[in-house]
Amino acid sequence: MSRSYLRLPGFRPNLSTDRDLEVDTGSISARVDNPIFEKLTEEIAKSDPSLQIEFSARSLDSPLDVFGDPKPKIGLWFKNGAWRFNPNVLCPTPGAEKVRFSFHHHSLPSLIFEDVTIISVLHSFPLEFTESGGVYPNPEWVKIYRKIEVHQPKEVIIHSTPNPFGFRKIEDWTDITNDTPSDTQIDSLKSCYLVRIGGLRILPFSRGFLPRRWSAKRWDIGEYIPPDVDIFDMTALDSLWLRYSPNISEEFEMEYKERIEIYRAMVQFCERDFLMESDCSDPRCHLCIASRGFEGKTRMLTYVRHLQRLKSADSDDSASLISVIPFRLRPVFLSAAMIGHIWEPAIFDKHSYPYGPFMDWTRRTPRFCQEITVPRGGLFYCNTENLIPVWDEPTLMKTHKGWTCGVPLRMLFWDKGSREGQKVVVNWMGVSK
Amino acid sequence: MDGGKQVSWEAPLYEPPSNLEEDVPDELRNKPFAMMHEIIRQTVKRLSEDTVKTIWVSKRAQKIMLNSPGFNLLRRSLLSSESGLRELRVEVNDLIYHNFSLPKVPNSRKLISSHNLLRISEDCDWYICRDKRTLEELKIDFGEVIVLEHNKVDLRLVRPNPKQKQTAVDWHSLLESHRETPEPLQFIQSVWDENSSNQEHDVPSDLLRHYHSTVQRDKIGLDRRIRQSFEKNPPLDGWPTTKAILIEDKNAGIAYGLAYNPSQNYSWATEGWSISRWKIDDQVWPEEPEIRHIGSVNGVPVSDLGPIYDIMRALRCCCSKVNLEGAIGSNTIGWDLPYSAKSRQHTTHHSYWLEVARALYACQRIPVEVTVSMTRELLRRTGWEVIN
Repeated sequence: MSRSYLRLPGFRPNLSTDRDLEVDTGSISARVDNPIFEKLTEEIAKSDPSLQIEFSARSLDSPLDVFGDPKPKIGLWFKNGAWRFNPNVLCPTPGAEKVRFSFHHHSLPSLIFEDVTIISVLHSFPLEFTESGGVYPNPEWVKIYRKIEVHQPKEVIIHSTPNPFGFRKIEDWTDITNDTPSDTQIDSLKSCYLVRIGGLRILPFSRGFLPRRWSAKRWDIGEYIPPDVDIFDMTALDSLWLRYSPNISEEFEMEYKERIEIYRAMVQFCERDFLMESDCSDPRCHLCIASRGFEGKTRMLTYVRHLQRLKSADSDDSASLISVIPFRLRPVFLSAAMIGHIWEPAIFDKHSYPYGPFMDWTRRTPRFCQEITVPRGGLFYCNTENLIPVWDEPTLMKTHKGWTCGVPLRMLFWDKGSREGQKVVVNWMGVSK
Repeated sequence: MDGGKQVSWEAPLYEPPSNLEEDVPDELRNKPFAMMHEIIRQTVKRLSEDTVKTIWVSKRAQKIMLNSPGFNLLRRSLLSSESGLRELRVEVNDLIYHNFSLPKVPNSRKLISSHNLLRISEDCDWYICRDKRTLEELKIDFGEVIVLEHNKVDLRLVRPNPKQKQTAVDWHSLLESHRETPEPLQFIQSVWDENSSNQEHDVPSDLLRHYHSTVQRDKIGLDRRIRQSFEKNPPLDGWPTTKAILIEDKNAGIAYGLAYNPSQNYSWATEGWSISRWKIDDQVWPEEPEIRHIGSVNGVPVSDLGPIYDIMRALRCCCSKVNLEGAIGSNTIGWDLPYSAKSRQHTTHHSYWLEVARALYACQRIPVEVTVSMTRELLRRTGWEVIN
């Protein structure tokens, strides 16, 4: 005779609290650290000594991993009064991964779950530099990924004439993976490297994207925005924003006010631009940002209202200014704060509409028009939908409305026509491929 | 002394003659409750009426007790050293109420004038004697008598001849069958169906507290249960975040729970208690429940907490099982079986018979299988699933 009963445990089935769970990249055991799961386990154990609890975790971002394989659903184990899991299966590379921990027991009416952002942190870069400017793969990364390919452009890159989208393609690369560091020595401040991991990951990597005076400091003290944090995560995750934005203001104390000025100017011109009409009238123009139209102008109007609110805030208090920057504008701010070099576009190019007014206003072109290329794809505003730039050889096209004004550190790309298919993670460190 | 005045036993008011100690029958030595019952039987021995006033029995029994050889033993067993005669009277009355020979009738006790034997099992030669015959009379009628005492329960076992056996009845015929719930789910469903006219529309689900005890043993007494098995405060986020144990009908995708409305007087039983009915879907959390006030159970209007306890038990029966050895070996009242809220030991209650089984278990002359079978039957009738 078997009986059936259900348990309503006294809380909602969705336990999500927008929590981040930081784990070390490569570690194989981490605590779930949810006291409710543990309390529930204890309660169930009282009436079910066999304790057949199904506790699993699965990734929420995409059913496929970066290699195109289905992401696994992993089991968890209970040890020393705590649920543990293997983060290396869910999040084998540095970065943020949304994961659902689900807890089920036959006595519960349905799943109890918590969505958590696992931040897998590797406190290092894929490449190490020697004093003389040579480069070699970081042994820690090699340990995790087995093999890291490093490629170097055959020519020193001079971005003198970027195209309207602010990037140019480097055609020829040399594999320097097996070279000794001394062999790779070139003009380090203008060099960039292509890093391939697992044959598919591409990590354009450069030391030259920062102003010269920051470069040395940056390598010494570690990153102010670590490469394992997706800049786009900051649009959604308050915790990341709060963690890193004060660092930015500290690091750039001297420059800070100026950058705020830039940002505010940008805001002002974005606002103005939004109210202007574009000259390009081709609705299918894939080069033109403005002509794509801002689908749902009301949403943009919301941005504008945010911006207006921001302008009215007390600009003397930098911390409060940071805090009022709306989610969707945070990448813009970060980029403006980090990158002194903003490419000056062809102001009268009707396709490059969003760039013109900004640079036109600054009129400080000699300073800002340095050897930096706004990377392919640029920086996008996140919409309510996922941001999906499409790889469209030979150029990467934006499919999203917005404007390009900064340097994202890490982006995700899908193959065009196969959104669920191959996905490539690109960490942009300043120089486009 | 008899006017309700508290008197300390430390200053002895009465000592029975010491030479009377020897007059205690061997069967009753060190068995104070059996001795007290024997005194009660002696009190009513010569009465030929059908009924007797409880107060009369009480006063006569106390008088005999004060003069009985085992008085000091009785005093120590029945009362703490601080207690006085008032407590003694309460204890004596309690024993009278639970005497097999004296079933309760309004305002008085009924005397069982005929000979009354209870069959324990077909495989057991020993029968329980439950009439007003004294020990001496039983020895004349049956020869040998075993007197058992265990945790305030005393029994007299006799071995009747085939002719005497004819008048015997099964022990479980005494049980209150309307409180039995061998099929917990069906029982709860029947309560739900029976109270179809009591559908509550005005009681907000967020206000209700749900019964959620999942352990085999629940606390005796409503106050303890309310404190420990119902949430003290309203659910933080309304009904979806209540804490509850629900009995599930998997085929119908329906589950039932017991709820009470703390704004009403739950201890009166006729108010405040409801059955909640939840639609269950594997994928989503249950929908907001329907609520029906409990007005009657098994056709009987709810007038005391008995049916509420039965519903609690039915819910708990579904989420835990009983270890039979533990049930017999334990000295506490144990798994929730029908019992009286006023008195734990009523001879028509299953909890009383669990103590009887334990008393039999302690007796070397009764086969263990007989006790196990009796306990299993008790648990089965009340909905418990036994694991060994």
